[in-house]
Formats: sequence, structure tokens, C-alpha cells
Amino acid sequence: MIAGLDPVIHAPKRLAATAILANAPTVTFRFLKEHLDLSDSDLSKQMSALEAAGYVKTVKAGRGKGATTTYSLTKAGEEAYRAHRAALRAMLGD
Amino acid sequence: MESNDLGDQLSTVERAEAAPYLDTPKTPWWYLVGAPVWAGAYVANFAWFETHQLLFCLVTIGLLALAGLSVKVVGRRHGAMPRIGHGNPPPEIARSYRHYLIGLAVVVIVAITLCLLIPIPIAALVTAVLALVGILAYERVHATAVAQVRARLS
Repeated sequence: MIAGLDPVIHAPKRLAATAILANAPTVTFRFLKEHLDLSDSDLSKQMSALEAAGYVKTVKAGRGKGATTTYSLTKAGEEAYRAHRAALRAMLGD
Repeated sequence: MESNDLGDQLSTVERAEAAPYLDTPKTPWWYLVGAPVWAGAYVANFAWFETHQLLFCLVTIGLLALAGLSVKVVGRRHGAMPRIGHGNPPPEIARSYRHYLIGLAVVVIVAITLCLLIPIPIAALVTAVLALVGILAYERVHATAVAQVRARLS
């Protein structure tokens, strides 16, 4: 892995999810699923990886059909994303 | 790592960052009606500023709570309410936000001036009309910005 690029965020699906989360205080599971075009299980897997790294906080509310899961970036997640983004731009001379 | 991969990553970032600003639900009808009425009511409330201060405070708190509630409802419908002033909006969208803020400042300045010069009920009515015109103008500016970003990222 090139210095500055975060191995957790580097995977394209997780990178896209993190980029969305960096631009909204909270993002619902449904929004991420629709935008990233992932299955429920794949999205859950990607978000679990981000959560395990301490980059994402998950909040589940309600039960049954009306239940919602929302995600937000933690401070560590924001910093990691900002550093990853800056490293990408620097490497491409952007 | 190939620069192609990095280029792909950067375009993934750009598209994903733009998503909360682009994939927005249509503005609800109640906002187009409610926001001008809210602005007019906020100004009209100043009629009680000197004579009924408690009522003035209660109405102000109520109106602010209503505004907060509507932001929450819209945010819940959206699923990813943009992080104004914190994220990385596409430049076209950032420009439309600047126009919104300028429009808002104009409405506020005009409303204050009117309150000082003409009877408050009339000032409230003019403010409501101004707010409606401003919202409709912003809707057009924002729709154009969204179309420009979509075209650029496609």
C-alpha cells in the first residue's frame, strides 16, 4: 500500500461509502444501498469493516418494517478519509 | 499502483461525494407554501415585540422549533442530508448555496428595513412574497447546478 493511502478505505466500495459519509452528518442504509448499488449483505459487510476500524458509528432505530439504520463518520474516520483523499490528489498531481 | 487505478479512485470519490447533493428528493409542496408563510409569521410576530413580550418569545421559540422540525423531516426523507459548510460539495452546488445565502441576506435586510418604515402586517406580507420569489429563484438555480454536475460526472 502506498504511503498515505488507508488500506481500510482503499477498497472501492468502502471508499465510495466513506466519501458519501464525509458529506452528510448521517446517512441511511437505504441511501448507501441505492447509491452504491450493493446487496444488503455486501453493504453490511463493508460497513462492518469500517465500523471495526473505528471509522463509522452505526445507529439502529425502531423495529420491524419501520426500522432504520443510519451511519456517521467518527472523528478518526473523517481524518482517515481526509488523509486518503489528500494522498490520492497528491499522487495524481491534482 | 497504476495511475489509472488512482484516477478511478479519484472519480469514485468525486461521484460519491456529490451524491448527497445530487440525489435529493423533490422539494415538498408544503415547503414552498410553508417557508414564505413562516417568514411572514416571523416578521408579523414583531408586532408584539413591545406590547406582549412573553407572547413574542413563545411564538419565536415555536417558529424556530417548527423550522428545526421541518429540517429534520426533510433530512429523514432524504437519507443523506448534505453537510453544509463541512463537506466537499461540487463547485456548481457550492455556488448555488452562495446564491441562497445572498438571497437570504437580502430578504432579512429588506424585512428589517420594512419593519422600521411601514406597518408590520404589510412588512410581513411583503417578506412572505419576497421569500416565495427567493425560494422559486433558488430552486431554478439549484436545478441548473445539479444538471451541470450530473453532466460533468457522467
